[in-house]
Amino acid sequence: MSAPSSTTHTPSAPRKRTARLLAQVAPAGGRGRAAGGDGDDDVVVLAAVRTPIGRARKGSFRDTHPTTLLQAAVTGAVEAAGVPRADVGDVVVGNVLAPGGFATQARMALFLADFPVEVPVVTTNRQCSSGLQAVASVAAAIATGVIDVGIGAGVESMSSADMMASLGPVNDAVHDVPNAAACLTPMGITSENVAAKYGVSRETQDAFALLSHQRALAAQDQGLFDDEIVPVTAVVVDENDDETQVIVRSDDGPRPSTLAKLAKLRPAFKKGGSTTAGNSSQVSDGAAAVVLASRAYAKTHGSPVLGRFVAFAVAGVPPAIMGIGPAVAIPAVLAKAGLSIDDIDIFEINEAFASQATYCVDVLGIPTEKVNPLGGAIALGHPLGCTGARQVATLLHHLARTGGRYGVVSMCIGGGQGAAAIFEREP
Amino acid sequence: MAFTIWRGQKLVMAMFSPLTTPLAGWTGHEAEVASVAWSPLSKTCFASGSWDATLRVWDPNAAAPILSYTDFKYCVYTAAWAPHSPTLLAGCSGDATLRLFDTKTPGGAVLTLPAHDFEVLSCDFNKYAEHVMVTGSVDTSIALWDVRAPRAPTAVLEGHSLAVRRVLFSPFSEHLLASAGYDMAAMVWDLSSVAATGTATILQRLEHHSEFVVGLDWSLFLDNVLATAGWDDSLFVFGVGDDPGRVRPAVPL
Repeated sequence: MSAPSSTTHTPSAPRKRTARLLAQVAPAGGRGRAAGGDGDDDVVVLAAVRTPIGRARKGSFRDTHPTTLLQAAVTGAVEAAGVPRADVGDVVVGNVLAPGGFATQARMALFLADFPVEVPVVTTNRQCSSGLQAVASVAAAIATGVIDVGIGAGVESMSSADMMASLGPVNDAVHDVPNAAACLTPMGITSENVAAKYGVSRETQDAFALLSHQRALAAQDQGLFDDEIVPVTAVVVDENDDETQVIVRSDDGPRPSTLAKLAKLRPAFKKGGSTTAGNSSQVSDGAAAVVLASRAYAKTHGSPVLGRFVAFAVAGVPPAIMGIGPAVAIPAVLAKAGLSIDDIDIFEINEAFASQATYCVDVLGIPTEKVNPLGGAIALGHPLGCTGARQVATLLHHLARTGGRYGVVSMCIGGGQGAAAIFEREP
Repeated sequence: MAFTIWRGQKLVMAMFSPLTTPLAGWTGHEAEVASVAWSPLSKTCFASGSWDATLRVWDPNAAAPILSYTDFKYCVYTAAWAPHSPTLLAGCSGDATLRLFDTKTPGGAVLTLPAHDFEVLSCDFNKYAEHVMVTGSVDTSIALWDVRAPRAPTAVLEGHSLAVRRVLFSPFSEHLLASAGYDMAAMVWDLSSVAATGTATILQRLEHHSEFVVGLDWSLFLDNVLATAGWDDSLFVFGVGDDPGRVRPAVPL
């Protein structure tokens, strides 16, 4: 017994309180929902597909226009979802490198995919998380009632992109502001920075890279990508300018390798460094698309439901070590959902570099068997704007296959950010 | 006279005598305190339910709780004492259960009732039928229970269109129940037909509030007098059968 004293709240207390009260009035989301209560305000994923991923400049899509890739992805997605194109309230397309933000190109791609003029489209660029940001933006629009159905997509043609031109002229003033200047750090150097700062050895990185290839090859052999890949008809031009039409059904990237072969590769970014072409993500072409809807829409239309969109978080980290982004974003999104690492069955963590991926997995204490069970960007490739949406497709189909409940998609982001989202498998 | 202040992380239950100075306060809960209830039979007991998912029993002469029940999986929204037994109390929770505890029985709940499919925000004991309880839920329904046969409710009362925030049996009649909810309505139910038909009759549907109705109490001294309190800044006191919408709010707050 004591005199009442003034109380203190953590900054999150008012928001948490509001969320709990909201769950009483609109009992759809949140932990207060008892088992079995399918809330009509849930945002659910109806379909998630992707094109095969081609090696940039050398691979299957070296002569394919990115709108063709996006056309294939959005067509595959709406058809898998059984959603009439006219029902789609908005399409958000992640893209990183295209001039003009891919805005007009995306509009054309939707017309190529037979969408009616009434269906709008917007493009978004949060660097390597753009595909996931597109999914999160659509989920937010559904959650706020702006739309009932939407497509979060991503596309990148690194064959046709000029990475330096996409930056644009740089203000001289940034050189006086260390973090601003650090945004110009080449991505490979950020990988070297992470490896040096956290002591990630070359051997660790190479072993991680080898595992990525082994898992991706095994997944290909077992046909585990069949549910998520929509084949693309591509034209390939050879050195004699002869055109051949091919149907691309699988990823170019995965290849048998050995630790000895990987160990022979020279550091790609820094003398004496540990980041090589073998333990970095591949430069790639590809597209992916995810159809999301309100639970009410899915129920009314009897749509297939792959999973529930649970939560999304982004967080900033120092630009010079941008690779640690997932180590910050994953705890943030788990906190939002009230879940822990142990609750998650599969983590799709983008392998921008083996250095940063192994660091994030280690520091978060994630068992390696839960991380990228079908391989990651080192084997499959990393078409920047596509990757986040590609990971959602890979995750949800593998959760369905394995019966896992929760999955996380996360990646680091150039300029120093991390993004992460949680999905819950259904039914 | 007892008065409660809802004040975040700590339970601050202050005894005002007669006005502003609190006599005592208690801390211990780790999240918002949602409910406090004096035992009607023991002067040395009150109970509290908190968003920290615990139900606690306190002695006003002791700083720490006598008992802390941790059976609940989520926020405890209401603590209620049995009017016929000084050791029996109940709590209801966002984990969708109603649980009964006997302070003489060591350990956890003596009965756990999966009462609803959604959060249970309120519960009460019938003052005349000791086995009869009521729960109100986010699923918009009110359920009546015979705790001797807890498998299914004896009746489910549908009438509110949003979560039921408060349910309370009349202190004067076995068959009178009041309820209040997020649909801004308060209702008075006649339960005399429940045993025969499994349903109850809405005696009165009161729509005098213009915001969530979150507080409800029956007068212990005057039969059929009800008070309601809402997020519209209003507190109404009126007789059942009156139209409170035509009565000036008793206390302009």
